[in-house]
Amino acid sequence: MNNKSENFASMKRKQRIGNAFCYALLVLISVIWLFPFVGLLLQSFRSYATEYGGMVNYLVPKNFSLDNYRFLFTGETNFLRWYGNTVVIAIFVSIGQTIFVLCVSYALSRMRFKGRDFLMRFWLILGMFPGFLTLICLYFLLKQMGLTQAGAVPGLILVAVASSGMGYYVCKGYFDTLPMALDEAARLDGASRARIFFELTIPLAKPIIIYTALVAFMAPWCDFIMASYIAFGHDSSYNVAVAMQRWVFTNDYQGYFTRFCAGGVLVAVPVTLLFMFLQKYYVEGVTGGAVKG
Amino acid sequence: MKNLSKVLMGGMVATLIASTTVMADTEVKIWVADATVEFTKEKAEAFLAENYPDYSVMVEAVGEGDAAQNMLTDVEAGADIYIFAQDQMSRLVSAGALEEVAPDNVPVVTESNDAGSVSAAMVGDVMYAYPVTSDNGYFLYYDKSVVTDPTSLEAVLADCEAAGKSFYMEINSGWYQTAYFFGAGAQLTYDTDDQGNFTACNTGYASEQGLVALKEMIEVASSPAFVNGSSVGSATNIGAIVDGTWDATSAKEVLGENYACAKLPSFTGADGATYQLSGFGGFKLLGVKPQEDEAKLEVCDALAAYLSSGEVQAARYDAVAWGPSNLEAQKSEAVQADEALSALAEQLAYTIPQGQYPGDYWTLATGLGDSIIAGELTAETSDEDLMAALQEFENTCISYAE
Repeated sequence: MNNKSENFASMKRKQRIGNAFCYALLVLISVIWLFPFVGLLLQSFRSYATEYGGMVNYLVPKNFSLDNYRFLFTGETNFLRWYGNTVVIAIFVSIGQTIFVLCVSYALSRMRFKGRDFLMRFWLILGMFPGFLTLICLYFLLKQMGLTQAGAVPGLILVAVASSGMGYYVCKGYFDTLPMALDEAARLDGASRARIFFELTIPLAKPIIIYTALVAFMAPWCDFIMASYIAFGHDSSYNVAVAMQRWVFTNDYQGYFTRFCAGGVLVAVPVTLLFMFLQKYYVEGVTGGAVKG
Repeated sequence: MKNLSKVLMGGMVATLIASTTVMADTEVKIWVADATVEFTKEKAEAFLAENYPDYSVMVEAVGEGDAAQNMLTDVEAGADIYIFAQDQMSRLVSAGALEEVAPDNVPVVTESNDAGSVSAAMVGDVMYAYPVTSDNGYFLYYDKSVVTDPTSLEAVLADCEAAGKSFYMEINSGWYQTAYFFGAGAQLTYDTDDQGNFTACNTGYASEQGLVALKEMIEVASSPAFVNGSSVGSATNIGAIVDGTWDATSAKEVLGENYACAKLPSFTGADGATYQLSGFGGFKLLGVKPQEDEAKLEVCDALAAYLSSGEVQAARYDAVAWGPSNLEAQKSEAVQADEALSALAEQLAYTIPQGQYPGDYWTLATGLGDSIIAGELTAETSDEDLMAALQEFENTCISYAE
């Protein structure tokens, strides 16, 4: 009995040491992980008017001020325009891509037709090539249609939406988990394919729709390569990423680093909010869609 | 059949769009640095309204440092007129992004601008651009309360050491390094043909002069006050810094009342002789893109000539403090009173106008500087070994032009 409790105590101690070690490690990792974000946030409050606006060797500003944010909104630069461009592109891509993905996934999940397997494999392989490989071709194609530079915003929407059907994988996996019997029952009752899709499948697929829309929203929101190439040299078509990276690199923008940080914080806000509120669906969507199908 | 007609329709719409954009081409697109967008727009609009009322202008913010990269993305869609830093010249010429300066304008440009900027605008015997500024180069910013004699490098270092301040110079940059080599009398230039290709390398780094320069760099790097760097923004303890006019505002802010500028100091070489630090002189140039439409080319040429004229250069100095290349504009009172520009103007007399250098040169030079900073080359290294390092550097430089 005595022996047993001693064993128990020593086990507890061991567990505690183990836990302490784990927590210490986790705290350390999270400090490292959080550091850039905290740095960005703190720097964004350092005024470029009273302190130097470039990179300095201290983290906490001597005086907290909102000068950088004020700068972004007072029209000294096109910041609102860039932000607007980003929002417009992201929203349209999000809507367009979700519609396409849902349609393609539904067809592939529910219908059997000639060449279905081939199509699925072909798209999967195509999807493995990074999109920017086709950048130069795409650029000249868009240029023919007047969708570069001044027309870059619709151009970027078109590019992102046009190929989106190929990203059917997770969504189709989710549809496969919905029982086929439901569809069959509805068919027997005389419902058309469209009616089944809109009245049966869509209401059941809320998590995957939100997941698809979120993923579709994120890609153009963070896009740099496509946007910089297609909008190049045309300030009012830039998205935030392309426009603001100039504030870090070019000699023309000395001391813009804190303003860059403020812009970065503003870029992060909507994405953070979206994820916070839609997290529940997001997890359901990913796990639901990950079933092999 | 239905599908075919759809495809045809689509094609027609695409051609229609393409052709309308070509037809409506009376817009001159200009790329300049963000700070000068408003200024350029105002000047260009006034000029066009007076002389070519059918044409309009669109000014976009593309800095002169990024001009080549952006132009080369798609020359056709790039700007009609753009300002670029002269080291991008060869790339732009070989990509067909620069039209030769109209023959009528050449004598005027040659006469009215300083010799350095004119030679920077030439490739071979052909003038490809209009000089706009002569303000790209480096000189010494220093703290008056620390440095008492800015004319001698030894004195500057001694003062910084005594005050516990730092002396900043980016010796691992191919740009700043030439201050020592050119100063000691070694040369490194490349010849280019009309197409901008490198045909020959003129170098004398592996020589007595090169050795003097390398030893001086080693000596400077061995000072406890030395810090490798050239940006006021990242310097934390400035006694003196070798930097350019683009940092003038920050330097003024950091050094406050003790802000002062001077040409680069001279140094006493290992052979006992005195050498003046030299370096590159740099220039901003205004280029015109080749045009299919002769009439538009004429407008672009006239506009470029105007935007680079003495009158506009002087106004540009007043607006954004870019040091003019125009001889008349250089004599204006405002320019004369600018401490940083005056120091630079003084220094530019000792520099070599920066020609075209292969991209690999900059990496190579960084390697040489790094081996000094890392202590691979030190005061203890024998002359033979130093010479061997220089010989290798020289051979590699020559290989770029083959």
